[in-house]
Amino acid sequence: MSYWVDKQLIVQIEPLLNQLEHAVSFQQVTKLLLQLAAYLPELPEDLKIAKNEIEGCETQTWLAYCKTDDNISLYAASSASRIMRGLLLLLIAQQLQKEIKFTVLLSDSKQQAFYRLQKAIFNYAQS
Amino acid sequence: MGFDVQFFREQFPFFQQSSIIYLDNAATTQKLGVALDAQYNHAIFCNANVHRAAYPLAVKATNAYEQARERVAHFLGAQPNEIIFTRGTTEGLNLAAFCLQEQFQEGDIILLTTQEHHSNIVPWQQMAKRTGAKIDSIPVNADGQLNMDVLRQKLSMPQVKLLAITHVSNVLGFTNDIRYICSLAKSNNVLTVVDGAQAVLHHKINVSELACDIYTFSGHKMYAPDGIGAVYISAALAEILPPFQGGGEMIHHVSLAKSEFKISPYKFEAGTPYVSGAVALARAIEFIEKYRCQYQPYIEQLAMYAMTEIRKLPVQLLNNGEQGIISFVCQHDAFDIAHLLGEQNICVRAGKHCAEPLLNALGHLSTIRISLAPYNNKDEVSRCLGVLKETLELLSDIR
Repeated sequence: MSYWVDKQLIVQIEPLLNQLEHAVSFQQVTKLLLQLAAYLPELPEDLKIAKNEIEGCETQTWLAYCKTDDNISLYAASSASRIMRGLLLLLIAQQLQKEIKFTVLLSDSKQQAFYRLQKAIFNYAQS
Repeated sequence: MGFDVQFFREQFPFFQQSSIIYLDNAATTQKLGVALDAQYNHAIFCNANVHRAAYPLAVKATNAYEQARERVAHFLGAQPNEIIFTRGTTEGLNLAAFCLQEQFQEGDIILLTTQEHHSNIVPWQQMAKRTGAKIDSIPVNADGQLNMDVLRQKLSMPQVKLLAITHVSNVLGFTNDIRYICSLAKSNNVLTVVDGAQAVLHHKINVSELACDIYTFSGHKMYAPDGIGAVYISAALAEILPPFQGGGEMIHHVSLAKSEFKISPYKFEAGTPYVSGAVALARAIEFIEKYRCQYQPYIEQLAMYAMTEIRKLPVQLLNNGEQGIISFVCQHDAFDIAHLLGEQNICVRAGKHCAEPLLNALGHLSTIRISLAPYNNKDEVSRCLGVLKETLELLSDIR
């Protein structure tokens, strides 16, 4: 299995994404993020390099990006934190499938992590 | 007389308006009401620049500042001219590394320990780079305690000129026998710089008895506001050291060609100092001196209770609750644990605690640290450990 997150994987996690959007408590959000985390493919060690590291995260977090020959953006990511891995997959899903809209209940600290990751993904998409 | 935790807690305005369970006291403590009042009152009723003017308000401000210095000196068993106000421990250590650099030459060795906070590593590395000196280190044993055999052996090496060492480990709470270590260093003509950031709240410090050359601490870890701290430099050493920074306050005469500097402590305090911060620090010190004998046994008791309860959980403890610090690891990521506790208004620390060499030596990427203060109570510890138990179960259940 490739370590790049593709649309096929997004289809697999769609039920979780739907539940996440309707989650009303932080416990529900946390459980769903932990479940999502299990779907994020492991990033190879040679991609866990400074260039791919997201600064400002309290735990080491990496985000790798590439474009295929037919100009399709691909993302891969990793973190020691399972919550962070869940957030990463959530954001990558959103980036790959624009029709997925989220209004997820996130606490201040998750929201901050979310923004940092979102910014990193946005920067990649612009590059 | 027993320790009245409720009374003690009431002295901290933070708890009057917050339901947060704050257990990250080794990072910074909550602020003492009377210290904040002293800071505020000084700024409102006593504000003038110190050491410069003859009018009564300025004299009053100068007196308040110098009385604060006397209070710090008394707290450390030092003389007022040996106390320099700083922004905190980090600035104190940077001051030490900068001012000592003229004493070093290529090939000299600066000894550090694996227990050090980054702030007692990086300034020395920078100084070594400027002078050509080398850094060497004292390892820790498997439990994180200093390897005293290596310490003794390295201190006897003729190239070793300085030992920079923490008094109390910020990760494990271990107290180093600074008095013994400094006497050993002294007998080998090695200068000693002690990071007292985690020690001053718990131990009565007497720098004359410790016989260290430099001792530094922060106010924010002892109920005072942020941005104020102090460094002790022994009078004999202070006399030969150059100033730290240049500016007003620290000079006798200035011409465009050269300047003549004041003596210690003034030559180390360029510019207008943080007077209201120093006044607040002095007030916090008075408070600590009044209650430390009472609260120290209480902290030990509270830590013991926490240790008993935490041993029932699937975690690996790294220490025994020394100085109210409880460090542990588990099969889950430390950030996830701290984050999920934080979601429930419980503040604990996860990470490397600015002590990466120690974490590496212990073989852990990160640890979780609960650090207690005398205003914490059994209910808070119990709630924290209850939520920790639920969190560990949650993380184990969902794979």
